[in-house]
Amino acid sequence: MEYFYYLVTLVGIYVVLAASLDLLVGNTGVVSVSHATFYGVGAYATAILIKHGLSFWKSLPVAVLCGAVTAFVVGMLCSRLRGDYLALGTFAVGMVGHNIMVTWESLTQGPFGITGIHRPGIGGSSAAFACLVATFAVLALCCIAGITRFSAFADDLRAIRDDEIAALSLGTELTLHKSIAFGLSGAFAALGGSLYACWIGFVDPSGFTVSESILILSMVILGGAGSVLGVSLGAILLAVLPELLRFARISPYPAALHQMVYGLALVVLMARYPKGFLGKYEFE
Amino acid sequence: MSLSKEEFADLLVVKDLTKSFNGNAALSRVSFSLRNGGGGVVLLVGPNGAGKTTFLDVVCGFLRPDLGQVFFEGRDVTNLPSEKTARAGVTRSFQEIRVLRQMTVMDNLVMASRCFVGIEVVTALLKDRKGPHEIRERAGSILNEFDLYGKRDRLAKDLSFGEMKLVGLGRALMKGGRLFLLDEPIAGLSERAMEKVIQIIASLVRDGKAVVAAEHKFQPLLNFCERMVVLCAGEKIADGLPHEVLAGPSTTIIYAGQGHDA
Repeated sequence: MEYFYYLVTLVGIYVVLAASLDLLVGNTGVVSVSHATFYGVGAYATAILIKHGLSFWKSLPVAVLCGAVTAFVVGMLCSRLRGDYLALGTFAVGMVGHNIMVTWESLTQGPFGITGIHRPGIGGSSAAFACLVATFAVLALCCIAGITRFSAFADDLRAIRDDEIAALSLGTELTLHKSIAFGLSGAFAALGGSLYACWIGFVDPSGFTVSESILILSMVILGGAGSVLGVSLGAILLAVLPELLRFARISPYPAALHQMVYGLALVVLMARYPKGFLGKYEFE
Repeated sequence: MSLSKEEFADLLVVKDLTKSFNGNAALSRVSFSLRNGGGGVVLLVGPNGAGKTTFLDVVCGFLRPDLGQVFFEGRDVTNLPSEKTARAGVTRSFQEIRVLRQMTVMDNLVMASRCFVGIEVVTALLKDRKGPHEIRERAGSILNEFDLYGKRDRLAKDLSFGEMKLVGLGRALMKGGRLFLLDEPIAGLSERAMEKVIQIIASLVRDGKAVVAAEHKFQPLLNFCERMVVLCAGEKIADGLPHEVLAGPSTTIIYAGQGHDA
């Protein structure tokens, strides 16, 4: 049963991360690989505040705000870039973000990380925490789905995604729209980070690398960019798949084989579903 | 350079517009003005590479001129970003159409009708994307006119070339404005679609809007246009009443461009 709670928590956090990244990828057309940085900002902010004696409930909104502000600023800087250059720009942000976590030792304690973060919930049991994460995940999904399905803002983002020049000719503020999209996306990523920090009780830079960002991006693309349901499915699949492979005892080199099976599965799935499983947005 | 009192009252004043790409002059010292309230269609003609699109791009702010100035309603818009020029009332359609490919036809039109500035972008998070009822009705009636109402829920990329062109024009109508810069509005359209576009342009003129249309095969538009401007190799070589221009020395240049469609 413990293991089930573990899976629920893991999936819940990745669902939040993938859905928040989809605000950028599926709706704004920004292929960002800096998501782990905003995720990390949320995790570190929570860890540091809890270590300073704040409760989880007080540190959570601060962490979310930190993520939003960081992402907004990144958005302001990166919005001047276009297409592949924008993706490269976010890659640079991801690298720099990770390096800051490693080197700013007075704040983050560097590679050793911050330990002893208390878990909120009833007695801190894993069942209660899994419920908490699941609740937050559902709330975040509703929020993101509400924005993308019903808001005029999301239509503006999609106009920018489809044709920036056309959007400009209609008077749309490109930079502001993109920066706010980044900010929102970063806020939800920081929520994921905050939950992660409390769950594991320990944060160190290794969880917030560019390859983590790429994993989250794979969830979005595999599940289907532009669809909240799709990216959630992508998150569930890519979070659970390695767990399933753990049970398939493929000796004698389990780790290497897991990676190969995992990679192969990704290639096959993408070849079969180029728009992702439930994708609405097709990369052109 | 500032405007004289007369020019200040003009809708559009373009002075000595010069633009070159890698040393090749696309526009050289083009001056042009449009009176306010005069309405009417100005046809911008000339062979391929004459600078027609560059001219439109500079006027609406997509390109910065190397020299020269653009005034819209007495205001210097030369270095204004294109989105601000657009909000000031300059509306642009494109030769390459630029529909919002992965949005529905209806959404293409509805989103064009609104524009959020500054803090409004945040409030747009709480606004219904389908817009108020009147807007949808207006978009519906435009689509009806274009025989596209039945396809309102299709993605724009699934339309034919002609239909996309109509959506592009419909979007410009929904946006509204005082000056419409139309880049090849009728090129490549079927007879039927062309008639629709001409009707729309005529109705814009009736509403007192100014229309500048760049077009190769301009004959169908000739009845509506009050003025013809001929560009050749970036220079303005004629500007006047269409029948006078067509009777003048630049005729060979004007017709030289009509051998091919591009």
